[in-house]
Amino acid sequence: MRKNVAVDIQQVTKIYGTGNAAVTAVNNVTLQIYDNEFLTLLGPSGCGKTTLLRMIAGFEDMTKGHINLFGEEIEDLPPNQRPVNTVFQHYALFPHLSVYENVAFGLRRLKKSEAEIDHRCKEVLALTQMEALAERRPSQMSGGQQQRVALARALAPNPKVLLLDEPLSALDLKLRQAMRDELKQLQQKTGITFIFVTHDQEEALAMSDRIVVISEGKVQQVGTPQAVYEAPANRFVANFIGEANMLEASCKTTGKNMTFTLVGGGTLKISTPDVAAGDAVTIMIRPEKVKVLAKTGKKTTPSSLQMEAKVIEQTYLGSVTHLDLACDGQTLKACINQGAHASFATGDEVLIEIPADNCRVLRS
Amino acid sequence: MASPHRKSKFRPIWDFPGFGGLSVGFFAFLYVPILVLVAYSFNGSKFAMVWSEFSWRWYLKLLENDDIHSAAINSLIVAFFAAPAATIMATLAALVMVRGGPFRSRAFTAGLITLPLMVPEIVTAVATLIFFALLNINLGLINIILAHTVFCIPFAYMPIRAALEAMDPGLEVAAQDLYADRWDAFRYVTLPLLTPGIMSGFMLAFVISIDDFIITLMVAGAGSTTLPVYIYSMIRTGVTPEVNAVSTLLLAVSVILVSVYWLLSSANRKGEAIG
Amino acid sequence: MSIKRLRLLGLLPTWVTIGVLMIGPLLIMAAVSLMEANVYGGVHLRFDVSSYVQILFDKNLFDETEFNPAYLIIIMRSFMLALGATGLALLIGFPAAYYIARQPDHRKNLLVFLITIPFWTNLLVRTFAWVIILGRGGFMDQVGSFLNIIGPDESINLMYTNTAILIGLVYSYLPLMVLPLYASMEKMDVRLLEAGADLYANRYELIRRIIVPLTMPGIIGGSILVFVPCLGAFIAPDLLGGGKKLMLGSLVQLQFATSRNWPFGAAIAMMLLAIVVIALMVNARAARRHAVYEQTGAEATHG
Repeated sequence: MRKNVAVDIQQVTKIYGTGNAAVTAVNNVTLQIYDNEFLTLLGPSGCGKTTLLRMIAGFEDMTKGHINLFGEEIEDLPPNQRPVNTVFQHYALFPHLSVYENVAFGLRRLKKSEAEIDHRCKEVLALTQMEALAERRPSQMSGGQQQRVALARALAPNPKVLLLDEPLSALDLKLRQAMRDELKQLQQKTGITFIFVTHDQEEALAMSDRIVVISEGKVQQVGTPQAVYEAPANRFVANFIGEANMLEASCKTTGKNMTFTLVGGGTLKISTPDVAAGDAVTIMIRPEKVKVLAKTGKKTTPSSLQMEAKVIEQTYLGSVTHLDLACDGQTLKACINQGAHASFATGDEVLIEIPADNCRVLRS
Repeated sequence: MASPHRKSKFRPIWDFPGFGGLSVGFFAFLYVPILVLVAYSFNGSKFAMVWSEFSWRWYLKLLENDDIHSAAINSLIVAFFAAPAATIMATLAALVMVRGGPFRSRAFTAGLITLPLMVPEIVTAVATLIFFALLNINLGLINIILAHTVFCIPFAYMPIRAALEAMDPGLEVAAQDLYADRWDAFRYVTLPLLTPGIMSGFMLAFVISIDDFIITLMVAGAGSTTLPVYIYSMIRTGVTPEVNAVSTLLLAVSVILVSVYWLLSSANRKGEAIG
Repeated sequence: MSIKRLRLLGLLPTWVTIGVLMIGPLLIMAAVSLMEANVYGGVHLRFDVSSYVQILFDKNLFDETEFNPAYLIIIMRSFMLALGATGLALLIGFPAAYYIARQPDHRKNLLVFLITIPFWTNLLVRTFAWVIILGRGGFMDQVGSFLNIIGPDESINLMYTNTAILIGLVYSYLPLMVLPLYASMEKMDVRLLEAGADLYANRYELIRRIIVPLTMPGIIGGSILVFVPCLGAFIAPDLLGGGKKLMLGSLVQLQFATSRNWPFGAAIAMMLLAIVVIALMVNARAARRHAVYEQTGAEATHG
């Protein structure tokens, strides 16, 4: 099935200031965002993700590049002529207008009929479960309620694309988790393309169809949540999303199955197309894929590497326990399920196993 | 696809076209008349409004005008009594209002202090005139000093209160922790820190006193003319270029004092930013 | 010394000074307005409301009370000029206040200072500057003839007109309009404008639907600060109106300087005072009503 491109970002660069004071916020980003998808721009603060969003909304100028919306050039249109709406980070609700009038604001500017405005306002207020508070002022509402109004206000004009700028960051944890599910459902119900900006990897993994990982103004990886978690494109992505153990290694033989020799000794056979013989690489393995066995334990999978290690710290987290292990002069992290294995004590000598199938080879 | 630098002028949504130009016009409207007055004070012509050549002659003539001297001296005497009196009262009141804890007459006092700002000047002027006339108080300059002290209080009070509010009360607590009693804490911590605020208040009170015209005009008896009242009589009796010169001097005094006040208070702001 | 004693000691000088020299005179003036005039100035100690009656009515030759519009005309002129000056000041001040509020901090402080300077300089001198500009053969006429708009010996002839008074009033009190306007606009969250634009508002609609409602406290506050002193203005009508086009302030002054009708002057002054009280009440109400917006605006900026 061919997907329709909603937002086409072509070689967009944004530079603030000039001369020595110039700062590149967005560096030559090319990205296609499809119709009806939930796309997340994920990155640390200051990485340029919000700048990118603001350029789509029209609040910022591009230094170079083009942005097309459903095949039409929009870069010369002011924000009030772009068929996109934004949910702002701190909501930016109009304090002098009631909830209803906030939601009706965009429709009124579009010169809709009073009947149409009323119908649409009631519709989106129902969608966000805010009908009961329509006559309230924003100042009389909790953060979660303001959040819903901001959402209703942005959805009311039925935009082709909805931009969400860290909309959950001001909410407390419980509310944030509830809103995640709701946002996802809302996107599926309305069929509107959502572009969601966040620095919270959990949020990104939980909601997105695709995640765009951005760092220092550049796209590091685009992919489904599974892809960016299980097959990160580089060290930045591996470290930013979830936790990762990094093992330095060198590539030994060519062929379909390559052999990687770790700096600390030991070899792993992994099939990967990306590297050539002689390359210095990093082998990444997630903590929950590291197996921890008693010293007398037996190898559980044939294509894995076993090493001796010592438990230096353990953190009990309820459903799982995190272990810090000293192994060949470096610290490895492991994450074990409660009850699945015998528990370990700090100072225990153990055996760890690194399954080759779960390793990911990254160029150094 | 090559992407050249974009040609169209981008304007952030909060940037309204034309507002910059209108603001330039606004400042021109504020300052051009003042500059015209200053320029004409250096006009060599005998006629106040017709330009001939650059000359100091009207300033030199001021030096010889004994009436202007005595009016200027009267203005200074009034300001040098009224401004300190108002500043002392404003300082005491501000200390009580900001550091005095809760008390019943707070709102009343706040209203009382702002009262001279609210009442139209002409009303204050005639009320004071009636007051002095009916009680037969006729003490020359002292009448003017009393009247000035009243409307100087709110102007002295505002910066002093602001400075006190910006000051960390923890400093006084810290002083007391270091064995200072309440008086020592005031003497060695609060007062030195408040000095720039008090100076600002004094400066504003002084400017307001020097500049006052309407109240002085109504209250002043014969022989106790201040500079603005004298300038008014000069304008009434026929505009000579001398008026431009003395007006310029009066402007200069205000501008200098207010600039000193501004530098004092912006130094205060920077100190806060660091602290 | 107890804290109560200290408080009393701190406040007493201010209470006494303002109480005796401000409230006292105002009360005496109120009493005088209800007394009979003495033709040589001063009053007879007899209760008499004729000063208030005199504002609208006059005694004719047959000692009958008759409507006399002379003072009503002055009152109307004062109101019209004060309203006009307030409107013009708002029109001139609004874009400037907005522009200054959007500047970087250091420039903002400097520009605000430049607005306050005229406020602190002598009002008489600043108004006199307009005599040099508007007067016959003055700066404007010279510029006009230089630009060939008028002949060499012609005059634009604005002096001693209502227009001249209007210019003088706007010029006198413009800083009092801009400062509260600026304060409101600086508090306003720019992101609300982005939200408005995002919801399809053009620049005109942003002003009308967002900026104006949100800066209403500043608009009302500034308007009152300009309107009240304009009503009581004395210098501008005196210097630029030539003392012929009287306003309320000059009418009061006249009663004490030349006409020597103290009770009538006091009655007009009481009228001015009443208008001030009404204006302050309007302002307080507006401030209360709009306090909510500013609060949330501040919160949004804080977060």
